[in-house]
Amino acid sequence: MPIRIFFWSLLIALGTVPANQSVMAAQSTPPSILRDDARITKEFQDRVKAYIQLQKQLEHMLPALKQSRDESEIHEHQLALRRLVSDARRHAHRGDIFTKDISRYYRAVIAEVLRSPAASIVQRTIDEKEPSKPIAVSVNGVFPDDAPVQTTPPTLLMRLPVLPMELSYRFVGRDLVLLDNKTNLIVDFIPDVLP
Amino acid sequence: MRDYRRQFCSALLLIVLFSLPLSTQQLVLPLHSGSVRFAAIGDMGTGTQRQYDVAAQMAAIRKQFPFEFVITLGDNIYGGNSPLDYKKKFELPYNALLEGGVKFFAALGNHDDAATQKAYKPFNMNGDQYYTYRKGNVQFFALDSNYMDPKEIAWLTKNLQSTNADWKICYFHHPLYSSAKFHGPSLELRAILEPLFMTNHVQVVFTGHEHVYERLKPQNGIQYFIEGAAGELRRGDLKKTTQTAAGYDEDQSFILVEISGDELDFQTISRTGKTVDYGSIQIQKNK
Repeated sequence: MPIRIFFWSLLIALGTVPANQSVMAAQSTPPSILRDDARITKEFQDRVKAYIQLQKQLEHMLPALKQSRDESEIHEHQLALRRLVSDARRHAHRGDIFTKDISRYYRAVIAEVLRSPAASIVQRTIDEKEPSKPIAVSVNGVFPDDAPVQTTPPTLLMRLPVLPMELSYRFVGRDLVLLDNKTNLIVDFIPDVLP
Repeated sequence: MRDYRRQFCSALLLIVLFSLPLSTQQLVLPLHSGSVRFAAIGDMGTGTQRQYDVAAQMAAIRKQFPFEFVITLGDNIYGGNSPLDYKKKFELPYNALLEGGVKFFAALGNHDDAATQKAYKPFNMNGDQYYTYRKGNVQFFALDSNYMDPKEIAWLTKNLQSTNADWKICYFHHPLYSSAKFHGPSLELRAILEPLFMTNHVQVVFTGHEHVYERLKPQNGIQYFIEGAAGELRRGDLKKTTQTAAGYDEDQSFILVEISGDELDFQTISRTGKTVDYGSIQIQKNK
């Protein structure tokens, strides 16, 4: 995990800045939960890799998406890819990626960050959301195009396995969602991960 | 004949009245030869008449201050990502600017659909959620503050360190400092980004998200601007604090910026053409 090591080193190097201390504390919290860190991260990343392979295969069936002045081209490409992925994963279930083990790990990591000295500013990021219609969370469900996204706390992103650019972690209500950035499809989720 | 004259006079009067706000614009920027000139707008993609009014002011002032490009501070397209949304909330309001060759360099907000916006050529994101480009002696960094993951931080650090530009300007959606009541500052982002900015000599930061205009007093040597009122507006939301240098929450607004040598000049103009803030910042060039 060179990026994580690099980033932790960076934060330690910047430790003289008072505002950063609480974030640093979260980084240096003893990793009691991380006994299985390598195994679980590997398992998670293998599942993510399989998903990305599927997405890429399906995307190759479509005309290549280029930078376009015509938004309708971009929009149609997004909808077409969404249909393909959704159809290919019509039998997908919750837990296909966030398995029981992986879910337990994520819950523990999130709980740990929310108990750390950084908890108050992380919680503030989580709480800072705008009013919107309730979003129904389901595997293969669509994150609505007109719904605002909630900032995913950077402190948490430093602790969780890094995702490829095609995916992101998002909080929706109290659930942690794995979102396909190209199609806005919900790939998997862990319910009630926030207190 | 008399009727025609009366109609002509009435029409003339109407033209004068309707063009009054535009004619009240008074440029205070120095117009140095060879300077970097741009406008900053945030939270603009509403498709409302007020967004169109701001866009018209921008087009009008460009005749006096020919800015080359616009940086957008997020919430570029509210409420959907259909072709109609892009037309109504971007292409039509800024048509005069686009036709005039003005380029837009977008940063993403929490209401933006990253997948479609980063592929949309007029936003000049080239498929990336965060990116950098150079104009004259200024290096710009458009960041994605919705998802500041370790990859983005590593990328930012590397690029801040590697540029030899005199000026480093970062822009993104969520403000690190804010005196507005609705959201307030993003303390977590501040804890992570500000040390990077300080270490790497970032001089100016533009953000949006709060639907007001605010210029903060320099914080740890960095000049922060909020311009999240180029379409949206939260009238009366600004609660000026000791950190506030200037603010405006009575109407929509946009910022004009000119950089020449080690001088940055700015002018903030309201929807009706009133100058609501202006000034000059002398910043030590980073060596």
